[in-house]
Amino acid sequence: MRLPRRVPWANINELDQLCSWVFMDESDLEAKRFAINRLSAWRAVTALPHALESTLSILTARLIDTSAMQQNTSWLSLRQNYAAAIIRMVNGLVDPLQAGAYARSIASIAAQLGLPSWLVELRHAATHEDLPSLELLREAAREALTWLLHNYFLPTINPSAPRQSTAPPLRPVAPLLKQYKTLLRIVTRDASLRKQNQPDIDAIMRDIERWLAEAKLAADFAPDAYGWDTIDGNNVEQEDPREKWALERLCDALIEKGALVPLSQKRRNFLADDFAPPHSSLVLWTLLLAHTHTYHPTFPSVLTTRIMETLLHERPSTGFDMDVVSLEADESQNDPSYHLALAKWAAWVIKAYDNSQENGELSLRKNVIILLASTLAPGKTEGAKKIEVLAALLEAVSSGFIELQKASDILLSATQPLQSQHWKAGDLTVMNERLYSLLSFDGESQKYINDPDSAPTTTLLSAQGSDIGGWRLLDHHSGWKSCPIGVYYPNHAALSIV
Amino acid sequence: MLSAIAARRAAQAASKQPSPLPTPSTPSADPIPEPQRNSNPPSKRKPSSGNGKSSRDSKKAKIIPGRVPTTARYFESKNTIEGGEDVIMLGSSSDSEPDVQAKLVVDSSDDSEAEETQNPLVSTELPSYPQPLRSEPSQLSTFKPTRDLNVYELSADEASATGLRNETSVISIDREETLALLGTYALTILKGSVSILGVTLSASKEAHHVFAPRSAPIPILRCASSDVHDDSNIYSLPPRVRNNHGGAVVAIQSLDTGVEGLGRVCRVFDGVFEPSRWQRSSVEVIRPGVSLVTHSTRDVLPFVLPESWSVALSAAETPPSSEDPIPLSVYVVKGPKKSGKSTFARTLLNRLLARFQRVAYLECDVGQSEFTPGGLVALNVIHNPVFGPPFTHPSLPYRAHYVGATSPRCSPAHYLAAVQALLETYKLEVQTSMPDDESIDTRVTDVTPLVVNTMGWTKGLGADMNAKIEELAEPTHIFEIIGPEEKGWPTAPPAYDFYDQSAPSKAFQYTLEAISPNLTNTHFNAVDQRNLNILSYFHAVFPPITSTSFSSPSTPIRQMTATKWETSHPLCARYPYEVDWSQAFDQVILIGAGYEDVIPSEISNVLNGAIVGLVEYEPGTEDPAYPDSSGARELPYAQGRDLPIPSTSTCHGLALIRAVSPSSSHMHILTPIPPAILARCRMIVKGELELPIWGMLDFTDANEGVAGVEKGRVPYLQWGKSEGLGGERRRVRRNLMRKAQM
Repeated sequence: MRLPRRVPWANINELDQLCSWVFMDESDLEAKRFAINRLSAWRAVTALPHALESTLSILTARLIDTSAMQQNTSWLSLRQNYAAAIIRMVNGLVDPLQAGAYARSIASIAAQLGLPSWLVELRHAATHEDLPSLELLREAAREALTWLLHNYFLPTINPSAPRQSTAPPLRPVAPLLKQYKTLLRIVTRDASLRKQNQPDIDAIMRDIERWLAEAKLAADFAPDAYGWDTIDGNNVEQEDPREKWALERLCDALIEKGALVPLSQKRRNFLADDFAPPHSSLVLWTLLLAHTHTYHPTFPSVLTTRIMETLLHERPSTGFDMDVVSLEADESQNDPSYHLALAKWAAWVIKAYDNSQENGELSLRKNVIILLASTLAPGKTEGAKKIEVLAALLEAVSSGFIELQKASDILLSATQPLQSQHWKAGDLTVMNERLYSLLSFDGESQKYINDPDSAPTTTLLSAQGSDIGGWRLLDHHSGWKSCPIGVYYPNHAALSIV
Repeated sequence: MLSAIAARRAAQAASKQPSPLPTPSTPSADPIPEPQRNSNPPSKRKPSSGNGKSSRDSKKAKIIPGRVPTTARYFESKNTIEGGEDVIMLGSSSDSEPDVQAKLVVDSSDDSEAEETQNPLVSTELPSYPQPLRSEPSQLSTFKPTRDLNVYELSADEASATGLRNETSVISIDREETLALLGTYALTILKGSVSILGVTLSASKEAHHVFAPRSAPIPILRCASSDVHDDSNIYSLPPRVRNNHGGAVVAIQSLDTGVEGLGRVCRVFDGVFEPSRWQRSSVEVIRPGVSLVTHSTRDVLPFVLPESWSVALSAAETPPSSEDPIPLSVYVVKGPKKSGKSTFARTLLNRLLARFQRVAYLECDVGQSEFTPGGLVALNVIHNPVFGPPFTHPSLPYRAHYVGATSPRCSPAHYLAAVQALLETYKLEVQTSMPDDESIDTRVTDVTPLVVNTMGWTKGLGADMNAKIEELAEPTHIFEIIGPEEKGWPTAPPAYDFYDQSAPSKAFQYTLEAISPNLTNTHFNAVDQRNLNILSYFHAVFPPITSTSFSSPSTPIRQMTATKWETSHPLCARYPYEVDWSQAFDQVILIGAGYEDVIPSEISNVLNGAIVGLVEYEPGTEDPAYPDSSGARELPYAQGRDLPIPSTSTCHGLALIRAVSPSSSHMHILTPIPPAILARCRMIVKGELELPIWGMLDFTDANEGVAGVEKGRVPYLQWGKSEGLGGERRRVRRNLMRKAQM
């Protein structure tokens, strides 16, 4: 269950009205004053979205500017007003997007946001150098408001309208991985080269980390980024969906052939008795995996889930001959040695990173077993071809955990041909009993929810309808009905008096 | 064989790889924790190598060493393999040629298969690479329940014959045995004495309410002594119980408080009074709602009293020789966030209640208050020890002042004035009273000691404010917890000290260790706990009181702690008070940074759905908002007004203005404050405190709507992500690494 957010407006039309006050007619000072007053009130209701906070300070500075024509106010304080508004706007937009572990330059983030780069320069000048001229500041305020209109107000008010995409597309991560692989090859082969290559390795690690930060930002623009699906009830904690999306993109690149799984089939699986990736691959990739995990605790879970998805959701296989290796790209999925190698990686990740105790929360291990179980469950046949791989993975993952082993043994034995079901006379009775118990449960809960008279009173105020100094506790005689917080449900008894 | 040697080189190089990681640093654990993830390995917080430590020492960097694997192991392996051989480099001429490398590795693996016994490093060392340190689950209960041997079920009749009400489980705890119970229960000591949460309870008629959710450390029951004094043998135990050998005998009864329902309101705490899913198989149900926990897990941790705490507690409560008059004691507890400060203060309070009939508690931590929801500086007078986390004992304060936020950052002067006023109230009205000779209570009745819990903001302005409070409180005992992050109190003299040359104070100083981070439950962060405190308050049912018995100096001071929670309905479905503000209120005040910009015509928008403090003030101490208040058609609000002077006002508690009528002078208000005192609150103060989102939702609506309004159309709530850029509240990150740290 994902929680909604508190917003200061009752419905989006109120934001629409505010937007028209701000942008409709630049010379209409009255409307600007309305907007400032409304925004000031909203600020006291709940913390404002940063865009509105910026709108308020820019509007205020402009209002002072326009009314300063007549009065003799200090021009310095006016410039400071503008400058503070611009500085805070740029900082507030950029800061939350410092998504990675390392600081990115403000200019690069601003570019990804589509924020005019001269506003970033102005921020720098206003902070560290001479306060910019009034002319420049006025222009910046105008530009900033325009940016807010196009990037905050319009998309928020019309969420369905196509957003003008100013952001450059996310660069692919595969070249980075390739570069990493090449570097690591060099140093693993010749340890003496490590020293001279170390700075390069550090750089590439930082680059991958930076790519993840960029990807997190790009997640906002990605059409498939947010599922907003209901998360399992006991997992209420907020997981950053952007981070998940970014990690998924990285994992996809890692899962591609040529990364975790070598291109050459020969090098994929040769130690048949040990369910782990080949040493040559481990040597190359553990450094990166460990580094990524350090900054992204969810990385192992995303990686295993992604591997499992690749293993489980294949396209329906057409050929039965496993030895035929098709060179077509879309056939690459049906490649047994590739699957086996991936499964071994999943097992390795679980072995290396699953630190939860036997009776802790849903662990990596259990998660994978659950995913496997749904495919290996009796009656499922579509994954039949890969059952060997999956069964081996299940065995590897559950080994050493007695309870899990028991469960997986049951599953594995069930993958043998299904036993034909014998219909017994008692079965129908059992089913009926279950049906009744379900039905009666439903009735009870309905009764509980729909009982209007059971609504409690806030305290044990005995005097019904009595009025103490303007306070009167409503009860079921008053005609009051439950409604969302913030909605006034007029009570008829009172209305008749007024 | 040549290739085999090379393979070993390669393996060796590979196995060493992780250790020289240049920046093995993890973003430091932020004081404001992010939502903790399950896969977060505990090892992240543990220093594991010299490499990491050095970076930790530099204070500016604030880096906690990351996952550097146990380097010692690798060095060891290296020595066994190297054997003085020179490194033979293979294929150095074709470094950039991947195929050669590939071939090499293939060969090596084939060889290593053959040589596995000699060279186990290759296959066994690598996969175990980042094994995090596990905290071994420790045993919590050594008590093995056996029916009619150490656990007895008393029927209602048997129980009433014993002197108890209702059905009861009677448990006899041997010496050396420990018993950890999860859930809510009434604990009555029938024979001997038992220690729980650092307090020793002796046989008495008192039934102590114990709240033991998984979200807080679980109390462990231990037999403290089995001695039976003649006068304390107050229960006639049934014969089958009586013939047990030594040990203490306790009665456990189920408590029906409704507090478990708060888990439905705030789903983060769903089922915290029950064993977690993974534990269910291993726990034993003692009574409905009470289960025995045998082992600690990551989400069930025991209460542990650190050694230095128990020393300090014993020293603090040692009574002076009987000739001396009982000294007036003021205990100040201070320390950084998450150091166990409030746990210590609560334990101290409970300890003192063994000797004193009443103990006063001054809460200066407006973020995580013990007896009130946040935002209040409160003075509570407590009679009965409290066993449970703060949300299980919301109480009406003896006197309180509303700060309006979870930090005094915006109004330091008002905050200090409020603390000062409460200290004066304590000294004038609470500290000493006439001895109550009629009471059968053997405890001290004429002196009420004070426990002051300070806030965890111990840097900068926070340190200055704490120093000022310490000065005002004139403590006799100071308990200072040295936190894991800050290395002690700032050594520089606080800004307020310059005119006070009489320092150093004569108070007893105790230095305490911080509670171990392994023993703090990471599943529930400070924001969750704060939200739960607010929600618990609004769902609480307080004991009824009459107008005269409250907060008037002549009558005995009573503790007003909620014993029931009304959680069958969400807040949106509860009958509110209908309040005619033109009659009920004389003042509306806003307190918060920038709130003075709210113009009078917008005030009803601000109050709609807001949490406010209900304040009573002495008539004549406040100018009316309007000169002519008769027949006012607008809320009595004027911009930029100051808060009432703490010395002549008190905040009785919080209220939720669930709706303001757009047309008439009415509003609908929810508040747990007893009706008798509502009419005395002529002022409402709105601060930064907001109703948690959970409180706006409707847990009875299966489709996640609210009170029949479908999800997505509920006013003031927005589901889904914000579409535009800048649509989020400003967030501050303090753990970003700059170029210099890379």
